[in-house]
Order: sequence, then structure tokens, then C-alpha cells
Amino acid sequence: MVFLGIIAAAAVGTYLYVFRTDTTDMSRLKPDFQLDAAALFKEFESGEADATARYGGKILEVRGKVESKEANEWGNVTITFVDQLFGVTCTIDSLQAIKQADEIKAIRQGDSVTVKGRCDGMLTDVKLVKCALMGGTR
Amino acid sequence: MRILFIPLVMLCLALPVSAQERYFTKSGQIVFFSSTSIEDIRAVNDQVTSYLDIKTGELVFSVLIRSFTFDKALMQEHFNENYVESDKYPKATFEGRIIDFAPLDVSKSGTVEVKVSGKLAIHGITREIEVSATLSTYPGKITAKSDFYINPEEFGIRIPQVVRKNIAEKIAVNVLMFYIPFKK
Repeated sequence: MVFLGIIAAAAVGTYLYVFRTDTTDMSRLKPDFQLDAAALFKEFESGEADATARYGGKILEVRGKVESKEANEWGNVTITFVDQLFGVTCTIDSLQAIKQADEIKAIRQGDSVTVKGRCDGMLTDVKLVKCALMGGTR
Repeated sequence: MRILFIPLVMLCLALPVSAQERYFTKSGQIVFFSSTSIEDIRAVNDQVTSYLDIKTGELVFSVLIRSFTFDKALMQEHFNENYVESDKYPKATFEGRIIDFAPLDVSKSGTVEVKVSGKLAIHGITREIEVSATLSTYPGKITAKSDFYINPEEFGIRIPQVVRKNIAEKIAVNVLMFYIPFKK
């Protein structure tokens, strides 16, 4: 009976993972890469196609000095590193922003923070989405 | 076109012109919607970068394909891997202008219906499109809204026969941008 229970749990777990993965729960996922925000931007700046191939769709854990923090019209919070226009942005979805409201509120320009998110590529800046704050130090 | 976009944006934004002429957003929204008798599919991208020149009517959009979020993770995977092949074509872009453009008076609140014409590039294929849009000016902000249809097959997006009936022949696209003056 216990054995059947384990099989059933595994089946349900797999189904839930494949069909219902909440890709926004970034804090649970293991990062594919860990790097510094300025280094990440430099890689994209010097070879966008290669950097997109390497990091596109992957989970990145990025550490950097906060340039700015902004809430936008959709209730998402964007943390910008390196430069306001040509840098690395990390967007925290509104639901995640509510979950981490206290940590986000405490962030000041110049703070060193670590974020984890999926890299979608580069427009004017390198874009990380579905971000979660991983805590930081001042 | 993809390679040219960054230098184009950087050049335009770096030119010593009054910042008040260029309106910009990095959080524009594009939604696409497919409705069939079998299922409805909706995807949202609110990471659209775009600028609008209120003197010339020049309008540029750049979109990362991976940033389209679907309700189902598996559908998002199919979209990226099989249909739009986002690893080969990570971006969609639009470069064009407002037809018969009269410089916008942003000091007054108002709404104007316009026609936008330009080149839309998706999945490595560029097509000329012309769509209608509504521009609304408010103090310090311009809202742009446009609703139109695109045919995925015109951009070389092949839908496998087995799911052909799940996806509409014409996909509804809704664009919603809130532009603010570009400040460096």
C-alpha cells in the first residue's frame, strides 16, 4: 500500500511539475550561472549573440550594486544594475513583490544585492525576469 | 535588423536633441490572443522597449520573445522551441512611423486616432504592416493603444498539422504603451 502511495505521489508530482510549473517561484530553482551584474552586461555588450545563446532562457543568480528601484504600471518592481538605460534589469512580478515587500522596501541605491531570475536576452539592457531577491548586504 | 537595433536606439537616444521630443518606455505591454473552438491561448509580454518621437512620429518597438508569458509552462515551451524558435530569433521588432503625423501637443490632454506604418520583423521575416492606433496625451505621459491581427504563417511560423485547429489563423495582438519623456 505504501509503495502504491509513493508511485501515486510521484505521478501526481510529475504531472504538477510538467503541466503546472509555476515558473515564477524562482527562489526554489537552482541557478544555472552565478555572476556579477557588470560582468554580465559586458559579456552581452561585447558579443550579444553568443551571450544570448549562453544565458537565454537560463536561471541566473546575479549580484550587483543597485542603480535604481522602480515600480511600474503593472505592479512589477524593476531593479536596475550598472546603468539606468544600458545595464542589467531584474523585474520582480507583482505577486512576488508583495511576498518580498519588506526586503524590497529596504533596498537603497548603492546597496549590493543578489537577485535570481531568468535571462530573456538583451534589448537596451540585459533583461532578467521572474526575479526574486536572494538577500544582500549593504 | 536585430544587430542594428541597439546602435539605432543608442544613437537616437544619445543625439543632442531636446529630451522632451523623445518618449520612451521599457515596460510596454503586448498581448496576443488566439481563440478557437478547441481552446483559447493568451500570452502577455510587459517588457516591451519602445520609443516615440513626438516631432517626427517615428516609432520603434523591440520585444524579447522569451518574455511572452503563457498560462501553461508547457505551452510557453512549445511556443519558444517549436513555433517561434526563440533561440534562433530572440527578438521581434517594429520600425516605422505615424502616417501624416502632426507634432503632438503634450501640454494639452487629448486623443488622436492615427495610422502607423512600418516593418514588423518576427522569426527572421520582415513584413510591411499598417495598423490603426490611438494616442492619448496627458501631462507628462503619452498612452498608445493598438489592436490588430497578424497571421503567424506570414512570418514563417509553422503550426504542426496535429495542433492546427488549436491555434487561430489570425492572432489578435493588443499593444498598450505608457510613454514618459526620455531622461538620461
